[in-house]
Amino acid sequence: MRWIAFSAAIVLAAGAALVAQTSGGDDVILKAMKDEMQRSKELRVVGGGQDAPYFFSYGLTDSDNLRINASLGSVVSVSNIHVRFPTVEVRVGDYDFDNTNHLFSGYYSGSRYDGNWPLDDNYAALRESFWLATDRAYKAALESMGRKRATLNSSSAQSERLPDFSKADPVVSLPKVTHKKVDEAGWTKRIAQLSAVFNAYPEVLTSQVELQAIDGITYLVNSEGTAIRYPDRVSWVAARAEGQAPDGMYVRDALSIQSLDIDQLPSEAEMRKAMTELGEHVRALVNAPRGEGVSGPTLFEPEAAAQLLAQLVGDNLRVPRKPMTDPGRNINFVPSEFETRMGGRILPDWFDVSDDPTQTMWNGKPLIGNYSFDIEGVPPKPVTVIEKGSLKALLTTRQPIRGFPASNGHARLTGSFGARAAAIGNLFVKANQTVPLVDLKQRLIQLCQDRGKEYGMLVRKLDFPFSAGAGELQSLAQASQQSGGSARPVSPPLLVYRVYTDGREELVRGLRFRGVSSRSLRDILAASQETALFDFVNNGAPLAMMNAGGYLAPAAVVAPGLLFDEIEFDVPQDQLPRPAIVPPPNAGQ
Amino acid sequence: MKARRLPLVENGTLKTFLMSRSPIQGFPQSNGHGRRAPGYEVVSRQSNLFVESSKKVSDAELRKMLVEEIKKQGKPYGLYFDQVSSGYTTTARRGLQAFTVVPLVVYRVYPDGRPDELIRGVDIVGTPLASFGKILATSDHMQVFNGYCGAESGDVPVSAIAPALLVSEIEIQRKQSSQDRPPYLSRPSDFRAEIRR
Repeated sequence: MRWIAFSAAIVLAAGAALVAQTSGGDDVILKAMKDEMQRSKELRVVGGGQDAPYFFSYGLTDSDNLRINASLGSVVSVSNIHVRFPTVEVRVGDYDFDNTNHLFSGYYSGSRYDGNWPLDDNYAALRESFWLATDRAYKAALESMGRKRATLNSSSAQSERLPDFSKADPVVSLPKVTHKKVDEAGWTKRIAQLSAVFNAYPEVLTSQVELQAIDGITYLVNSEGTAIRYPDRVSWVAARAEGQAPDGMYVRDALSIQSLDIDQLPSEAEMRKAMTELGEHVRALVNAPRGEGVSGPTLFEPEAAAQLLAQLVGDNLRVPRKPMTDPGRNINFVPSEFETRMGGRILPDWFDVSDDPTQTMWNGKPLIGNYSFDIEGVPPKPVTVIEKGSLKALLTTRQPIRGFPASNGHARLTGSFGARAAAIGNLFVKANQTVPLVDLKQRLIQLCQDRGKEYGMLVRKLDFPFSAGAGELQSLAQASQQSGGSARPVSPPLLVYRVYTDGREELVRGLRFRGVSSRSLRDILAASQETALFDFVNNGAPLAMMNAGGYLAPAAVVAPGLLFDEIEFDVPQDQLPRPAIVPPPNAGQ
Repeated sequence: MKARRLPLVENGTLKTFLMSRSPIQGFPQSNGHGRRAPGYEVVSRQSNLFVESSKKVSDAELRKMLVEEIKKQGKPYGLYFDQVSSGYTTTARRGLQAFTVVPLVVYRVYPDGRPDELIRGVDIVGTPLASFGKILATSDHMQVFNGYCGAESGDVPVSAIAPALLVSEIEIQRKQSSQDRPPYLSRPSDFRAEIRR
């Protein structure tokens, strides 16, 4: 159900602070939306079928998307486009029982005539587009509803049926929002210069630095009376460098630095330093020994712990509903690991976890998981999700889930079967017993000595958001299932070290986790006083894979370092490609 | 290889093929027709294809011949293809050696002098040799069609220069039709909100 069409399909769920209120009456887009929605209500009278539409929602993001790629000091591509991305929703039936949450919800077998949206503020052209999109959404809704009724007729009665859609209070917030001027020439030069850093590393075979600056204005109007307009921005600089060890194994490091405001991205000097570290890491990995399958005490430094918790806690806080379907039909559906664990223990009892998208700063650093409205137009509420280690609440959208009938404003990503998907904003993982990080490392060594182990493991950085391709993701998912883990793979470590009993750290390459899932969190022994803020641009793809997924939900995780009693690692037994026969042309420089 | 003019069919007989540097039996050399779109494989492709005829008549004469042919065959009407958007063919050995042409503007021509009638929803289908054998005459002036032709080579720009053709028999098929229901509400620009049921 997810579609991957990059530039044409960007909707963010970020929002910076809102500025002065205005009437919004001067806005052609808003007027076209409101007027056509008003007219669409006639479908209640003139539409076909037994099910009348009860809910309309029109969204439109008007976005300037700048994307610059460079490699080895040279610009590879620049694209600067203006796009309008609509979301038109029509629900038939009523809040209790509508066209969503069926395997074929959202599926439409007819032709589409609403492909291209006008970029000018042309009132008549915009209304025409909303008209055709509404017509299609309505027909799709009728089709889904027909299938859903047919399913009910052929299934035995379910004991419990949840309502399909929850009510939400209407919100009107129409501040004036304008696009920001981005210095394309300046950024092109800067990205090219940053990419030149890798010229100094002949060990790096391929490298790329990319800027994406997304400057959107999102409009949302629904038939319940909500009318909002807000800035929808995020920018990031991502880099990836890959080398090949003497035995042929590919090794890589990647980074992504993001901000809701392009002018708040770190200085060029700071980014250059980050690129240099990337080059150094790849050089070290090329020369590092190949890791071995091992199981033992493992220390995650704060940033790696935050990356791990974004996946094991953050992703699982979104509990999608399994759609209705004909008896006997298989659904490719990955449930949340938390689905059946409400009230159960997720973490040791000295942990509390909350998600709070209303926070803007943490220790003087901006939190990019801050937003004013989710994509259903609901303002987010802070949620204490884990209290004393036990699961207390989930992140919700307007699709009710068992025990959570209302939205807490976390619909941030495109979902499946006619619903939106919940995602974290700012996730705060708080340990109530902590020790300094140095003591945590001592404890790791102590554990190894007690168990007669030669070394323990230290994880400094995970490959999250995932920087490899879809093929590697697939083999990771397969390995995860085959090793008895969950259907949800965990990002492999990028920087993982053996810690010998004398305190010496040795970088190893090629390791991935085996059987790590949210259940592993119960094996946490201790947490550090030091905490890290890790942020990323969540896009709904598995492992938030870079440049995949349509929607963007910037997110932050604050977490301490974590010492695990036992984590399992293994090395993929793949045939390795032969290294390049001729050395790189810049090797002698 | 340098491009060059190449006579392919002389007096209706096939003489040679368009060749790239990939040889086929009996044709070991390129004749400068290896083409491709950037990033694709080189394949032998056409460039400017000229079709000339020695049996030429004026447009008016050609139309007269069409009407006569309709009467001779006892058909209720003939067809006049004014514009064609595209066409395709399969050339793989395992495929059907047939072609489809997708016309844009087609008229029925009646033998009784009624005005021509615009029709929709037909495609031309056929097999190359059978169709070419049924050409009765051509017009006396050529027209240029510029377009893109796609294959393993990607799309390459091509031209075809040909006169109008009178064909004694052609096979057409109905286009795939849609069951789509027209929009429930009228266009917003009508503002009268007429109801279509």
